[in-house]
Amino acid sequence: MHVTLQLALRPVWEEIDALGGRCMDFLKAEGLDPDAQNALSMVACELAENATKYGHFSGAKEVVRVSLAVLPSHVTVTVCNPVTPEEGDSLAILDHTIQWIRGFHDPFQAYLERLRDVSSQSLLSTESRLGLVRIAYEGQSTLDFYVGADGVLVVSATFPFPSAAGGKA
Amino acid sequence: MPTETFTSHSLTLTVSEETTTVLVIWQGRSTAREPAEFLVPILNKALDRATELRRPLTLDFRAIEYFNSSTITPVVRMLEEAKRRGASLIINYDKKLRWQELSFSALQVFHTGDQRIRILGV
Repeated sequence: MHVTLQLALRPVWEEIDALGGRCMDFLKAEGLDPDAQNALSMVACELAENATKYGHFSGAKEVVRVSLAVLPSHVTVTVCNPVTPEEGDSLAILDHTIQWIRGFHDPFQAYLERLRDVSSQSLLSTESRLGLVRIAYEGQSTLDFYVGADGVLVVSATFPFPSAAGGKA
Repeated sequence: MPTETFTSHSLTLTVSEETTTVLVIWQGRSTAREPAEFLVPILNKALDRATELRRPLTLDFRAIEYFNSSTITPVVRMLEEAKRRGASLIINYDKKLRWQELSFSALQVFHTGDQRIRILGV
């Protein structure tokens, strides 16, 4: 049996702040321990930030969809947003970043390398690109993505419980 | 310098001049799209003052509830800036909170051998 939280967010920044609290409430109700609640809420917020930043929203009906599925062995966070061929560069960066993270045996090493890159940039630079590698390291989650035939980008992060019953308080 | 409080959305920074340090206490949630716009002027000014007084700048994150990855960027760049200036910067975090332990222990990569840059779990 699995339990899912499903949310549709308007692609505006204010929606993301509320998302963290809603995820925490859901995960707490599902009996996950506070560390897992924090990690997974962070994962959902980081993915929703990316969806809001890089998605292509052409009408009021287009939203960022967030779901959290709690299964006995893991939790999957999935975030979906519409894209068009105009987002090709963003998708290439997403693909490259996920492949780059997978190239490290330990995501901690990837995170350190990215921190070193960030530290060398100007104080006023807005570029970060820490979100995905933070999900892999702090969120202890495995990232994946695909673009569906309907032009929707689906990014998922899978968070394994340490043991079958682990993670749950 | 009196105690000054700066608030942006759910994040509050309190800057005070203590006898041994210039202290910046972080409280709330940092979730802005571009938090550097708010943070960098405050942190730069605090670092300037700490350098002038020849005291360390302390960034105390123990009371922060959450920050997005865009918040980490200006903090990391401030560590590098302090190192470049020869200033002293200390980060305090709550080591009992796993998310803070994970997030801040990684910053130990910026420690300097002379202890001017320190990341301390409290």
